[in-house]
Amino acid sequence: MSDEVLRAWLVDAVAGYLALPPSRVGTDVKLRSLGLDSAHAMGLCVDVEERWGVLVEPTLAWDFPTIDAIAAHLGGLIDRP
Amino acid sequence: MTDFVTRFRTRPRSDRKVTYLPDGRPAVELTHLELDRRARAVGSWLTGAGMAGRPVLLLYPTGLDFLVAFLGCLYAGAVAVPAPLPLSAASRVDRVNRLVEDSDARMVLTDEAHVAALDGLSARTFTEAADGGSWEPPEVAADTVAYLQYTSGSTSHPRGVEVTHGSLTHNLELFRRISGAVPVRRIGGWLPHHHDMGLVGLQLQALHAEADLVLLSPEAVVARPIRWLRAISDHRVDWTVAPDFGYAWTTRRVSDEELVGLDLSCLTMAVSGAEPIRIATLDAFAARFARVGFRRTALNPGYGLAESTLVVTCTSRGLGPAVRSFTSGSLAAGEVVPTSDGGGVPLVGCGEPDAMDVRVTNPATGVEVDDGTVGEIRVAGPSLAAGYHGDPAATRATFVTGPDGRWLRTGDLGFLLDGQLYVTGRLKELLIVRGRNLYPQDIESSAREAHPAAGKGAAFGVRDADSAEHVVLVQEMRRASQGDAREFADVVLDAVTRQFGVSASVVVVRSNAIRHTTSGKVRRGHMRDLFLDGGLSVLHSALSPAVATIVAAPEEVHV
Repeated sequence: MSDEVLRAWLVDAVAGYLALPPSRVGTDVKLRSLGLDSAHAMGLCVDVEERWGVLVEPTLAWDFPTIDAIAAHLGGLIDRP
Repeated sequence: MTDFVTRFRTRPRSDRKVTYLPDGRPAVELTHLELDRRARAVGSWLTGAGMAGRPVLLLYPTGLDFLVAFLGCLYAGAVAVPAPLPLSAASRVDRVNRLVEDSDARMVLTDEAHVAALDGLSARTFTEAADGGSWEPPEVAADTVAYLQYTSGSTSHPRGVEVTHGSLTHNLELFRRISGAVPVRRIGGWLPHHHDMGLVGLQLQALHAEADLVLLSPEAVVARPIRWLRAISDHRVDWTVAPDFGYAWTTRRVSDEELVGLDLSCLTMAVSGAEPIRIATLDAFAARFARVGFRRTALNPGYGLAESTLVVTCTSRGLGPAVRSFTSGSLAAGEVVPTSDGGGVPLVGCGEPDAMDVRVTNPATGVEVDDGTVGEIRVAGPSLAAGYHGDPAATRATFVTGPDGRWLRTGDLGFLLDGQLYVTGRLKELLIVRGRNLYPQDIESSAREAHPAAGKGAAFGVRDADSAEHVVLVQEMRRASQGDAREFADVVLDAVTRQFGVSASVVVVRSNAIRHTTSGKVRRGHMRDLFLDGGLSVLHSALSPAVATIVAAPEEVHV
C-alpha cells in the first residue's frame, strides 16, 4: 500500500459522501469547506475502520482536516506489507 | 375523547412490546403491560416526591428507561422535559443549565450510567415505588401540560412548547386517521426521543396505537444506516419515520452486499418530515430499494411542527407522494401555475388538511389568499400547543386568537392546491438542517466567540434547486486591514462546524456591513438577499460547493 493508494481511496470516499465528482475533492483543502458535516465524518470513520482495519476517533475529520492530513495520520497506523 | 394516558392505562397489552436494539448487545424488551407497571411505580414515587405539576428534566440515552420515566411523569401529572443528553463537551453543559432555568425543572432524571457525569446538575435515577402495582394515576384535565417540547438545543433562545394532554391525544388520533383502515402493527425507527418526531411519531404513537415499537439509536444508524433497514426487515416493521436526511444518507451509504437477504415489502408507511422534502431523495430511495421489496407508495411526505404537537398534514397510507410541477417564474411570483412540461419545478405535496384546519394567508395582513397563492401557513385545531413556556409575549405573537378562533402562525410559506398542502419556504429565521432546528442567534454567537476580531454576524439558510438547506454566515471582521481575512474565516468556520456538526459557508465583511433595524435587530433576510444578489462588499468568502452553485444559479431558483 502506498500513500497514493490511501489518498485516492480517501478522495473517492469523500466524493461519495458529498455527491461530488472526485476531481473536485482536493487533498489539501479542508474537508469542511467541501461541505463535510458530522454525519459524513461518522461515515468516514466507519469506512476507514472497515477498509483499513484501524480504529479511529470519531473526531478524525476535525482533528485531521484535510485528506493529506488524514492520509499522513493513517499511514502511521496501517500495517505496511 | 379518552386522553392518551387513560387510554393506555386502561388496557396495556401483554402481547405488545417495546424493543431497543443496542449496537452489539442483546435486545432489551418490555411488554406494554410491564411498561405500564414500571411507569406506575415511577409515577407513585414522583407523586410522593411532590412533583405533580412540576417540570422534570429527562436526560437519557436511547433506550427504554426514557419511556418509563416519561410515562411516569405523565402518570404523576409532572411536566416531562425531554432533552438531549449532554455528552462530554463542556460547552454543552451550559445548554442544559439554560434548559433547567428556562423550564423551571425541579428534578433531573438520568440513567445509572450517566449519574456521575451529570453530578453537577444533581441528576438522579428514578425510584420504582413498592406500591406501583396498586397506585392509580390521578385524572388529568385536557388542558394540563403533559410535557415541554424544546424546539432546538439553542442556548440563547430555548423555547419550550407546552404540549397538553389534550393536544397530544388529538395528534395521536390524527396518526390513526393517516393509517386508514389498517391499524399500524409495528413501528420502527431511530429518531431521538427529544425530537418531536421521535417522541410522538415513534414512541408515543406505538403506545397509543397498541403497536410494537422497535428502537435504534441515532448514532448507530447514522454510522451504519443498514441497521435501520435490517431492523425493518427482521422485525417486519410496517411504519417508520425519518427526516429527508435519513432517506438520503441511507440511499447513499447502503451497499449492494448489505442488501442481500433484506425484505422491505412489510413497510407500508415511511413518513418523511421535519425538514424540506426533496423529490430527488424520494426517487432515489424508492429506486435503490425496489429490488428488496420497497414500494414507492409507502413514502408518506408530511408537514408539522412542535407547536402543533407534531403533525399538521401527512400523506395517508397507500397513496404515495403527490408530485406536481409548476413553472419556475410562477413560483418566484408567488402565484403558482402547474405545468406538465419538463422544465417545471417539481414540488412534493405534504398531504391534505384533515383534522387540523389549514389556511394560507398574506403574511403582512393575515388575510386568507386564494388557492395557488403562496403565503404563510396558519393552522388551527385541537393539536395546537398551549404556548411557549414562560414566554407570554412569544405565545401571543405566534398563537393568534381572533374572532375566528386560535390560529398558529407557523412562519412557514406554502400554498394549497386541489386540497393538497405544498410547503415552499420559510418566513421565520429558523434554519433546519437534517431535521434539526438551528437558530441563527446561536450560530452568530458561536462565531463571535471564535475570534477576537469577530464583530456582528448574520446567519441564514439558503436552499438549492433541490430544496436542501445550507447554512451561510455573513461575518464582520474588525480591524480588517490589520488581519488576514482568510485565516479569520477559517477559525470562525472551524468553531461553527465543530459546535453544530453542520457544513457552513462564511462571507467575511468589514465592520458595520451587517444591517440592523433601529432597535438593533439583525436584518438576516436583508443580508440574505444581499448575499444572493452579489450586493455584499466581500473581504473573503469560503463557500461550500453547494452554496457556490446556488450563488451562481439564475435568480428564479432562489426560492
